Amino acid sequence: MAEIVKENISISILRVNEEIANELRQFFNQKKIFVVNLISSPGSGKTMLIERLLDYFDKKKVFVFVGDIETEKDAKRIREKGANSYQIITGNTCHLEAIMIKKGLSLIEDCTEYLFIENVGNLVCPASYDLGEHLRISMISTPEGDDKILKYPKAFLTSDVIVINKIDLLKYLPFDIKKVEEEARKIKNEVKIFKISALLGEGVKDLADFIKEERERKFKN
Amino acid sequence: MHEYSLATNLIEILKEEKRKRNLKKILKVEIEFGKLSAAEPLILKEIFDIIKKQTEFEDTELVIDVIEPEIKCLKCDEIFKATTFPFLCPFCENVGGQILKGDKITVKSLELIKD
Repeated sequence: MAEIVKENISISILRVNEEIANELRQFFNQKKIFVVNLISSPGSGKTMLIERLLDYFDKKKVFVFVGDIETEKDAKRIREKGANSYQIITGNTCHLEAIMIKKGLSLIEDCTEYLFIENVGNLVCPASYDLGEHLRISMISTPEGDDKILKYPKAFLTSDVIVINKIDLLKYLPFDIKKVEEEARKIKNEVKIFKISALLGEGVKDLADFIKEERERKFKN
Repeated sequence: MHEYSLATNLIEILKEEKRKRNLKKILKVEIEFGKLSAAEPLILKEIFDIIKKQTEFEDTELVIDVIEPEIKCLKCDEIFKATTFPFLCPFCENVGGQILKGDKITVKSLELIKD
């Protein structure tokens, strides 16, 4: 007679994503492509930040993957700016997964040194999905309010960098930037914080320099 | 709201385990659900119970064991439980800490019938 047995195992529910992410990281390391995963709410300025960052990079050496539920609008914006881009249309998925990045790998050229991944606008789900990146940036913008760090802790906890965008609007908004910085440090003490206005270009060079330094550090050998 | 993606991942894990271990049936799957995993256990269960109907795991019961996160204080090294951010060490009142467990969702056991 068939016997019922209980067997203990230990498998992460995200195992497939984790395996593909590790595969991607190996590929990127081998090609010396430094990968940045940019996470934020819709409308906080991810595409504009990438457009501005491109001013400080050799555009031929940057590839941009953009995730959206629908439309090619963002990839078009990046192309107009002079860099290569690949639009990932996720349909009903609220975040990017490693498999979606893998599908675009063949497009990446030999001269590529940086891959910027603009995640789907969402501060919750993207935080759980490793895309094989070297640097994770979570961004908030001042009109969203100054309470986002503690409301969406996982995104900030898993990030290396926090960007506060639209600081040019600070004078119009009840946004306590000091509180935001303090809360960010409470979540992750060693996190790097950049205060920028992507619209006016303020602070963007510092972030670009930091990304370049991180690439140098990563691939110095 | 990425519970749908998690539920489909779970079905894939069950498929692979069933094939690999040459099982006749998986009666029950138990998962450990960390409170800091940024997903909702009840929603995961509901979605799993809907999508399993179109698979060979129609009769597989999902049991979710929600676990309290354990945090290690970065200052005094004591371990404490916390479910909200920021972590406040009850021993030395330092803010912050390293998550030892409770931020992941892990498949822990299968109740099965072998072929």
